[in-house]
This record gives sequence, structure tokens and C-alpha cells, in this order.
Amino acid sequence: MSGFARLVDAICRGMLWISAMMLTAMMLVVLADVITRALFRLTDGSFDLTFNGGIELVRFALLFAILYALPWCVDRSQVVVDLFTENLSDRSKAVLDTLCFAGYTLLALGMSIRFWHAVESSHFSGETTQDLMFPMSYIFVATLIGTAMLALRSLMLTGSQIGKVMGCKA
Amino acid sequence: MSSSTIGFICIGLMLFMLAIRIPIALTMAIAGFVGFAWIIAFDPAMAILESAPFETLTNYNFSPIPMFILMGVLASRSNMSNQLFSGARSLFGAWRGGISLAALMSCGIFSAISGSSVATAASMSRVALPEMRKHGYADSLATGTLAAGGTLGIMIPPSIALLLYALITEQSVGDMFMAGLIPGLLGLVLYCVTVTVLVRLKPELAQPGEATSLMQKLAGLKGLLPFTSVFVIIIGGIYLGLFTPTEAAAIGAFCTLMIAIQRGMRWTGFVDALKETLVTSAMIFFMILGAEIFGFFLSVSRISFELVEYVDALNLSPFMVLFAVLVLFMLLGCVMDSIAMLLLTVPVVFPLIQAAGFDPVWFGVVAVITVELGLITPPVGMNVFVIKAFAKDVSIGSIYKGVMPFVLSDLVRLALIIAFPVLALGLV
Repeated sequence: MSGFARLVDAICRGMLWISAMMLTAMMLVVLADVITRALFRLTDGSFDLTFNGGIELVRFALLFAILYALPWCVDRSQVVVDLFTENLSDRSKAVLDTLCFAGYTLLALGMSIRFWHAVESSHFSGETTQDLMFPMSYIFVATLIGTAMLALRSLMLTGSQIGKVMGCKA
Repeated sequence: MSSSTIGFICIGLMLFMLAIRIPIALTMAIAGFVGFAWIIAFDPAMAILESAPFETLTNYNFSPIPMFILMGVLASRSNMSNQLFSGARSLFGAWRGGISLAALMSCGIFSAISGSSVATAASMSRVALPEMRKHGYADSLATGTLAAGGTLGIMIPPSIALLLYALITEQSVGDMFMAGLIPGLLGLVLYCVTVTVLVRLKPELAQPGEATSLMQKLAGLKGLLPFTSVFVIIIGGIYLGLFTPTEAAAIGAFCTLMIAIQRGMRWTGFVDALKETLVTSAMIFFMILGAEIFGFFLSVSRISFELVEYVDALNLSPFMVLFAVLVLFMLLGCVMDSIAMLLLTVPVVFPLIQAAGFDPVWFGVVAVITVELGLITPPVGMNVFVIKAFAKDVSIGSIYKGVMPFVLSDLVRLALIIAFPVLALGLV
């Protein structure tokens, strides 16, 4: 079980790398868009390196930059109101954390089921993106991987919290 | 059962989950999903689990958020706090209370770039607190200055809080940034006035520092230049209509990356900065996703309409409505993160404010100033706890005592902006 948990963690770390690349790509695409448009205007259109689909690239880079970071961050990026619970015992806090991660597991599972349907329907309809004509089914598959990994990592964390509640080593 | 009754039950459920330490993002998502499924049906509620994340995360308008965060993280990691503080210190350090003024000035610039109140308080404390203590500043003044100075960034553009408010209420991001500029700078000026008045009334609070020559002052100004230039490029570009907020964020992040590389940042530092950016962005986007799902539920529950009708029936004046909303913000701000609070409350209270006839951009500024107070007021006051971590021998009570004059200054600013909306709307 701990070997599987390590594997899930390693995959989530890999996804974080993809997120980091997407974030960098997003910045560079916007810069390239601004610079090429400025050059186009400055040279009255004689120097045209402008490209289509910049906005679409940024939109999908944002999707994967954030979505692929969520599995790694699900236990690191949460804001809680600790005012009424800060004096609880560690065991009680572990019970509440179990509820939290179980909630995320269900939520991400629900998302994954819906994205599975989205993959099927976009595959059959042949839907593509508006500017770059990229098949939407591929994008939904990549999105499904993100939500499925979020569900899986949340499930692992739920198991780990249950272990803490039961007094087992995590 | 009526949809609004279900709505109130689900809001009760959400408050209960918040109280038992369930993350804010998850409470909004669960309450939103359960409420929507209860009012409409389960299958449409499941459909939200596809549309909310996909539409939110592919929304071009949200793309500045991670890039502004990256800009702030890169700036924090490029030794900006040292340079800003030494630059500002060479200008004001010789005055009585001058190191406090220098700390406030550098907090203003640092927080404008970093966009994080907590990061500002932490970074500037590391640099300025030892200097203030070395020069015999009272603990209350030194710690109060830094805790309050950290809050400046939430209003001075580019501000994540103003950006989110604009997106939630469908206002122009550029307008919101412009509306935040004068109130943000006013906050800085009023904090400086507060320090000046304090040291006039109680000279024992601070001693004058060493005088600096004109050359040292000019060298100090040079140190302020790189980061101030990034700020001017971003805000100037948006104001003159040269860039969209997304473009401004990308340019700002890239320029800050260049400054960071010039100051010695290497591959590992950049990777760490990306990781830190993603963790912070994930925190914000978790909450945005929760708020989106909650928003679907709010629109079908008709709670906002019921609230507007209820308040209408009470025959309250618009300013009484505003006062009630601000008191609610202040109370929640004492126990809740500022961004979370905006995402949670603005969709509910915004229709009330609109019905009362207030300008939505102006209200955004007023709301953010009020939320900002929560960072330095008891019992949670995040910035106060950050300062405490750097000044372990200073009691929390002493820090809160030091912060109180600045809270008063914030209340004066709030009153000025409510009395003179032009302060927020003048540049819009």
C-alpha cells in the first residue's frame, strides 16, 4: 500500500512539473503575442509574425497549469477557519481531515465521471477548439487524468488520515 | 419546501462545515452541489461538476492570477526587500521615526509587486525589524508598523483581491485596478502620518537614525528603481490601454524574472519560485472552483432576491445597508482569510449593494479595505502572527497595541472613501 502511495505521489510530482511548464508557457505565449503585435503595428504590417490561437493557448495552459497542480496541492493549499477547532486533540483534527479528504475524493470522482462522458461525447461529435481546431476529446482526456489523479490522491490522504485516527503509522 | 428555504438550510450547512475546519473551498462546493441537487435535480448538479471546473480554468480572465503571483514570488526571492528598505532608509532614516517611514514605503512597493500581505510582512520584518530595534524603536511601533505595512498590497494594484472582485461581479479589471490606486496610496500616506503623529506625541517611541549624504540618497533612489519601474509599466500600461491585465501580468512576471536572474537567481531558484506560485495559485483556484459551484446554487436558490426584498421591506437607507454589510465584513474578516471571504460573501451581498444604488467599482474598493482590516485585528490577524514569529520576545498584546493606531488610520481612510467616492472613482 505504501508503495502504491509513493507511486501516486511520484505521479503527482510529475504533474506538478507539467503545471510549472504550462505556467511558463502561458507567460511566454502572452509575451510573444504582445511583441509580435507591437512589431506588426510599428512596421505598418510589413513585419508580420503575429499568430492565431494565442488566447486559446493561454486558456488551455491555464487549465493544465492549475488542474495538474491540484493533486499535489490538495493537502497543501487549503484555507480553513481554525478558530473553533484549534484546541482539539490531534486525533479529533485527524477525524475532521478525514472528512475533508473524503469530500475531495467524492468531488473529484464526480468530476471524473462527468469528464469521462465529455470525452465520449466529444469523440463521437468530433468537436474541436475554435481557433486551433484541436480535438476537444484529447483535451477532455487530459482533464480527466487531472481530476482522476485528484480523486486518487485525495483517497490516499483519506486512508492516511484514517490510519492516524486508528492509531496506525501513516 | 421553497428554494429560498433550501438555500438558507444549505448556507447553514456551509457555516457548520466551516466551523468544523472543513476547507472553505470544499464547504462552498459541497453546499453548492447539495443545494443545487436539492432544488433542481441530481443529474444537472453532476453537470456542474464538469462545467464549473472547465469553464473556470479555461477562462482567459483568470489567467493574470498565477502570473501576478509568479511576479510576486520572483520579486520576493530576488532580495527585493533588502534593496527597497535600504533605498527608502537612505531617504528617511535620519528623521525621528524615519526607519518606520522607510519600512512603510518599502512595504508599499514590495506589497504592490508581491500582492501578498503575509509575504510582505514576513520579508520586511526580516530586514526592517532588527534595524528598528537596534535604533531603540519601541516594540509596539516597530511591530505595528510592519504588520500594518503588509496590508497595503491588498489595495495597491496589481491586487489579486481587486482582480477577483472584478471577476466575481463582472466589472472591468482595469477599472478596479485604477480605482484601487488612490485609496492604496492614501493608505500609505495615512500610515506615514500616523507614525509621524505618534513620534511627535511620544518621542520616546523612536530615535533618529544616522544622517545620509546626497550621494547616498541618490544611490538609494537607484535601488528603488527596478521594482518601481515594473509597477509603473504594469499600471501605466493598463491605464493607457496598452495592455490587458493578462498581458500586464505576463510582462510584469517576465521583467521581474529578468531582474531576479540579474541578481543571481538560477534554475533551482526559478523552479522553486514556480512551485511556490503553483501552491498559492492552487489555493486560490480551489476557492474559485468552490465559489463557482456555490454560485450556481445561489442563482437557483433566489436567496439574493429574498434578501433584497427583505431589506427593501425594512425601509433602510442605503448607507444603513452599506454599514450592515461592512460590519459583517469586519466580523468575518476577524476569523477568515480575506480572499476566501470575498469569494464567499460578495455573491450574496452584491445584489443588495446594487439595489441600494452604490457604484459596484467603488464598493469593491470599500469592501477590500474592510476585508484588509481583518489582517491586523484580533483574534486571527494573520500579519500580527507573522510579525510575532520574527519578534518572539514581543507579546501578541504589544503587537496589537502597536497596530491599533494603524487600524484607526484605516478607518479614517474608509470614512474618507465613503464620504468622497471620487477618491476611488477619480481615475476610472
